[in-house]
Amino acid sequence: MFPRIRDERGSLGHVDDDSAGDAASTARPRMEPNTGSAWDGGLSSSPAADGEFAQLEWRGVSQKLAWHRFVTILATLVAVGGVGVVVAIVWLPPAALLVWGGVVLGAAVVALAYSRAAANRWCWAEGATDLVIAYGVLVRQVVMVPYGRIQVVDVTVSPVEQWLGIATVRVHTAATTIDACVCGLTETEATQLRTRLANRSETFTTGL
Amino acid sequence: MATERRRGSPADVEHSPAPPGATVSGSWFGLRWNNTGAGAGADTNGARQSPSPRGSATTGGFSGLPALREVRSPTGGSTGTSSPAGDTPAASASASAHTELSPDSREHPAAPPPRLAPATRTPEPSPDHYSPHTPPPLSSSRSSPQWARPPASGRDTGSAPAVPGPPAERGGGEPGPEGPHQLHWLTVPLRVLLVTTVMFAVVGVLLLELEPDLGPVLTMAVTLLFIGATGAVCLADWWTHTYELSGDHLLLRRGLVHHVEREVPLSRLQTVDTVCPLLVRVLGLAEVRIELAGGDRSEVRLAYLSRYEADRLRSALIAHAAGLPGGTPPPEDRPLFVLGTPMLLTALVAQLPVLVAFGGLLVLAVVGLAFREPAVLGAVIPLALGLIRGFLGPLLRYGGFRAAVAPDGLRLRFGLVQRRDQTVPPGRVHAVRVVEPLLWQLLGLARLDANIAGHVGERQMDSATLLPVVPRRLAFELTHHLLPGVDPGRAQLVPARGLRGRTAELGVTETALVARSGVLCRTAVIVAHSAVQSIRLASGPVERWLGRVSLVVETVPGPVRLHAPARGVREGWRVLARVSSGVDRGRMRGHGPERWVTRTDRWPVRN
Repeated sequence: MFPRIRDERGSLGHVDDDSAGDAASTARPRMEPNTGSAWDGGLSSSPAADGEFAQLEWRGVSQKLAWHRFVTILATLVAVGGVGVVVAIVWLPPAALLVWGGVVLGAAVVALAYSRAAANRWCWAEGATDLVIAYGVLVRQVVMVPYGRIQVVDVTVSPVEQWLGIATVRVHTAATTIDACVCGLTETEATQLRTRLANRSETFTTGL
Repeated sequence: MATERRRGSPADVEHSPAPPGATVSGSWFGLRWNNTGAGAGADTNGARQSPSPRGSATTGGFSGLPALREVRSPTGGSTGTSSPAGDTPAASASASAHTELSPDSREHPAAPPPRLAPATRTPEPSPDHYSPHTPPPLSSSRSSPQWARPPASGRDTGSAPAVPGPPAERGGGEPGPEGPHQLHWLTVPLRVLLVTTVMFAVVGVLLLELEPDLGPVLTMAVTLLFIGATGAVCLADWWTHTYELSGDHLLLRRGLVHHVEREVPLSRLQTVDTVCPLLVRVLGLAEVRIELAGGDRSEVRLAYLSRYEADRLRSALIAHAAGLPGGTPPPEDRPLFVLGTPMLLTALVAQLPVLVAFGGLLVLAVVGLAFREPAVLGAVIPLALGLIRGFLGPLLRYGGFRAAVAPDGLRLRFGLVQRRDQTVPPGRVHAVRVVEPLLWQLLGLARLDANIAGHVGERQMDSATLLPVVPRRLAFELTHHLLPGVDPGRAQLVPARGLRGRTAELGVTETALVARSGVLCRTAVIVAHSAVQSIRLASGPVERWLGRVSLVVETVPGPVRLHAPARGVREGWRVLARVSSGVDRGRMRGHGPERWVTRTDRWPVRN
């Protein structure tokens, strides 16, 4: 398991890896930044969220998401590395094999760091009228989806996620291009979030 | 450094709402937005002369709607003129030039008239947000239902007693197309003709070539057989294909062997089009296309009906969708804009690609003639194809374009060869874009695109452009009609940070997001808060270093997309907060665009 990571912005209230099942029901510590103003989803170095979003209660996701990311990247790396190894053995001098191994290893280390960062960055908040999701390592993104716009809420579990015991909640709106999802929730948590979102989308709906 | 200077500048504060009652002079790209006077142009004066200056914008959109509520209100009198700005057109004309009503006063009339009839269909949540007008029950209307009076015919309902007038002469008591109806019988021969032609072109030619002596006879026999078979199939199909309006649904039945029955909820209706290709038009027929917001297969096509039937079905559908009985006579429309051929030709010529292609063609022709060199044909053909696509296509497509506004929506009619009648009910437009290419700026022309739910893929290309060529002023006027309740004129545009500066501006009002961008080709995008599906703030490494985010607003799929680069982080969050509250307010004020005429609330809201 990955060690728990605390980044510079302080506690994000990550889901405890070992806590079984009802992690969602345990009240998570509210975002309490040291600077006195709200966290802004990592969009800048200084906190800048404002208005109603200053009071958002951000929730992190399970560290297993890091494993999920890492395994996904590792699978690609293994495939690419295998092809490289074959090429090196057949056509290239033995030194190339070493170099290639080093490159793949380096990539794996970077992937590890990236996965950890990605899992740390991914967090979401349920505002009064909208779902807000913040994620992204290099390109930081904050997506706001009003509850009334939610048409379908999916819970998807890929084989790797199944193995790790996590799930993804995907939110669909009438815009087809949107990609708003909350990854790395435990399955109970995901189901509960789905139910909550579905209920709210009914309450807030404006019809099409 | 420019960015550093900006950071503390008022750019951080400008998204705060305007103080209530503030005098905002609605300067919108140099146009006076709320001006009822001469600035609006002669042909749009009708829409401006509503009793309340914001009335047409906030309540009905298509400005006849408030009048309807007055007519049908059981409490009578001046209930519709809820704004305190003035009850008579004369008063408003003077008062409304620069006055903005505060949001609160717009929401509620000062003293709600007493409720006389019990609420028959009051939506359940928080009655505070609905006006006290109760629609009379639809069934017991002795007075025949009708749309609002056309905006041009004078808005005297504010002072006149609210007694429903006599039904309009044309088809007043005529029942709507209720029972099961069939398509026009000419559909069968038309289909057979079409299929046979295709068959003959493919197989018949082969057969003719195959056997020089037997060919004609064989071909004839095969063709006759084919006609018989197709005729039988088409006849069966025609016989079983019926449509029926029952209640709020359009019932479609089709198929002899494979029976399909479709029930279309008219509350989901987005647009109704009548399409007449040339041959069909000659025969006096028309095809009705009903667009629903449901992805790729959601379109309903009824081909073919007689022109009269098509018109009747169209108005009945829209009346149903608006919450009126199907027999309601279609409202009269007010001509808004007629695109003359000279203007269309000028606009089409004044496109850089067209000019370049034309110049290239001329040069090539001269060269080819001078040197008698056939090789120039290799370049001539692509250029000619480009010209056809950029010039001839739009010319045929948009020839004879005319737009009209009626209480049941915006009506567009265009096409030289294939005639097309498009009706966009109010509140169905999610986002609007006004595009001004370089040369059109000199001519004062613009194009108006829109996102309409359900117009996806091929159909999006069909109807993404609402007004192909229109005077710039009118384009901005029309955004007002297309997005009812939206006040882009109040937006204070804030330039982007850094180098983008004035080339990418964003403004947020209480009801809409407005973005303007481009220097050579200027575009202005307007998205109502109530149409926002999601908002995204993104910042890459460089942007983060500079302290910026870019803001993307997603609406239903379509050509219009609002993208505002290089905003401040704090500003981005503020926009998020304002849109969030705007969406919420929109929700409280309305229940979507269904049954927009009989709804009790006063703010039409789209999804």
